[in-house]
Amino acid sequence: MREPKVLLVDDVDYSRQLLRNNIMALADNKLLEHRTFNFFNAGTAGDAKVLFSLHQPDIVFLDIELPDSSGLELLAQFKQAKPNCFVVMISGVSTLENVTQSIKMGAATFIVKPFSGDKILAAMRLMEKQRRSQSA
Amino acid sequence: MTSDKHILIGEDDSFLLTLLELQCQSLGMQTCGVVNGEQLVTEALSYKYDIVITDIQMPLCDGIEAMQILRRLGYDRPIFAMSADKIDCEGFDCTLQKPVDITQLAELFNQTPQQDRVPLLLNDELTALFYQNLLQLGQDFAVALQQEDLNLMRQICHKIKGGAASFGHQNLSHLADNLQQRLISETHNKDLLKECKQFLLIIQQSGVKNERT
Repeated sequence: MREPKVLLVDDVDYSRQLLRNNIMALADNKLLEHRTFNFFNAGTAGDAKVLFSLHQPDIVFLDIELPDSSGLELLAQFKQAKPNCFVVMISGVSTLENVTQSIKMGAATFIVKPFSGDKILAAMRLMEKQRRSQSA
Repeated sequence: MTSDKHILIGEDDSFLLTLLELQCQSLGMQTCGVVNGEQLVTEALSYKYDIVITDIQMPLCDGIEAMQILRRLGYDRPIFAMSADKIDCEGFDCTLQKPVDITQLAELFNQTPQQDRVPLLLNDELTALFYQNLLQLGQDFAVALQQEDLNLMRQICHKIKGGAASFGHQNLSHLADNLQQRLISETHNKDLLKECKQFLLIIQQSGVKNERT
């Protein structure tokens, strides 16, 4: 199984680091099927677009509120470019509008900040489940 | 790990909600009550709960819609509906007849396994990055306050709210959330600026130096 490529999009450095550390810890503790991942980091929507077209990631963790654009706009672009890309929207504001809008635009799931180990595990397990059903 | 399970209850009738919470607690469960479908979705997405129990008729979005949103987001933990009527829709693990029978509730709790809990991993490097960022945000907030730039202060509050709670600063996160709401809904006023000034003091005192001494 090829190692999945993960693009982390958040303007706060430690948020991306936190996600990366925790995904790796879940893999190290054998809580996921995959043991390794290939990570790419973007702090702005501009960087995210460049990295997305260059690496065609399998998974994107995407913060809704970015300094130079809305994460929802990026979501639409990513899903158009790669429909089977698994996008996890992240937001500190979990209004129903944010959540339903994300679903409508193709997000696979939604993480409400603050991060917790359980939320990250749930998103990663869902991703693995979907990849299994796609490859079956 | 404790053996008691965490139950999320959605019920807009405050009397029924209290009653149900007491019933669950008497069975050794830990409960959280919410009064509308929006809160139910948000709380369930925290993945803190082993079981979600929801009424059907609720404001903002009803129990069926809330369940469907959660299922659409891949939420695969048990969701029980409570209704006096028969519910004809997929997605609920079971329907409890209202009024809810405590024996049936106890049986369901026993049959439902506790979910795995995974702690958030925070190492020293990450914690140092957080405090470094908080220091910078404090300095930016001071400049924004001096210039009375409410929009910039709101953005900083938003960032602090999202990050602080992961690092054990629940209070700071909560205060940032409250101030952010005020900065959205209010226009420039003295009382608001006074609160911004107090918030700046709190950010500055939440720095790493104060934490470690």
